[in-house]
Amino acid sequence: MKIRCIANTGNALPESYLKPEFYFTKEVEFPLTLGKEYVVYALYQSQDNVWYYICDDNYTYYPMQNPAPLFEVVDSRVSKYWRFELAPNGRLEIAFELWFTDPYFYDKLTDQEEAEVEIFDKIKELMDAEDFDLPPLDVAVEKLRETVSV
Amino acid sequence: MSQGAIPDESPRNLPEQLLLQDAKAGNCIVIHCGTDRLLGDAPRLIAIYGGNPEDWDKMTSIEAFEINGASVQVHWLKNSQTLQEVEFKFKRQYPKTAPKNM
Repeated sequence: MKIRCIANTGNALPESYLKPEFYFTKEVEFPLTLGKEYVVYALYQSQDNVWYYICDDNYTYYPMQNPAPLFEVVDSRVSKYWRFELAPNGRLEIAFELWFTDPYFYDKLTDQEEAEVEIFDKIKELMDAEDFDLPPLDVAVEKLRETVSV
Repeated sequence: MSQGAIPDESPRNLPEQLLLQDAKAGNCIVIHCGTDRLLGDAPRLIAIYGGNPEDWDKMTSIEAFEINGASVQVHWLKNSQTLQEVEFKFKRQYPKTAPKNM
């Protein structure tokens, strides 16, 4: 999944995303470049707000959550590495498997723990290079039927 | 894992000091919100500073300065109810080096 930045300040955000206690204000400037495309490594929806984890312009070693209204989706095909989780509190999260295997994965990653940094580095490499090209539907079905009939 | 309070890390140089000041002045954002997912350190933080598990968030400076070859950010922990901010530390990420046999 790829998204393109269409705004990079809090001014562009709906009220539901503005949380001054977390410094999500009208004045905040996100380290994003207008028009630039970013790969989405994980996303979640909570309280009707959607957040994308991307490697923004200040990327060092972990992806950062960014509000969805700052972007338009330019490639809606989803990663084969993604899994999804619906938490009891209604929070829907989509991310790669290790994100869920260890409930503290992102916590450890942002703490710069070596194992988690290395894992994300590898996942990022795989997702950045992911090939989404699929044959046309008729060709794919024909190929499948040939395989099944053998 | 440490069970006690982790003291604030001191900046090593002027750019780090400026980065810290900038972050403390409000040029920062939440990385990890405790109401969404608890921090692994939440029990330790409660034991030392008080509050509830979901009160503790992880913050970062929005800026990432290039300092002595490393990309540097400031991280710290914040209680969203009391606004107490603790355990400031610098995260320095150096570029990966190419394998020597290539």
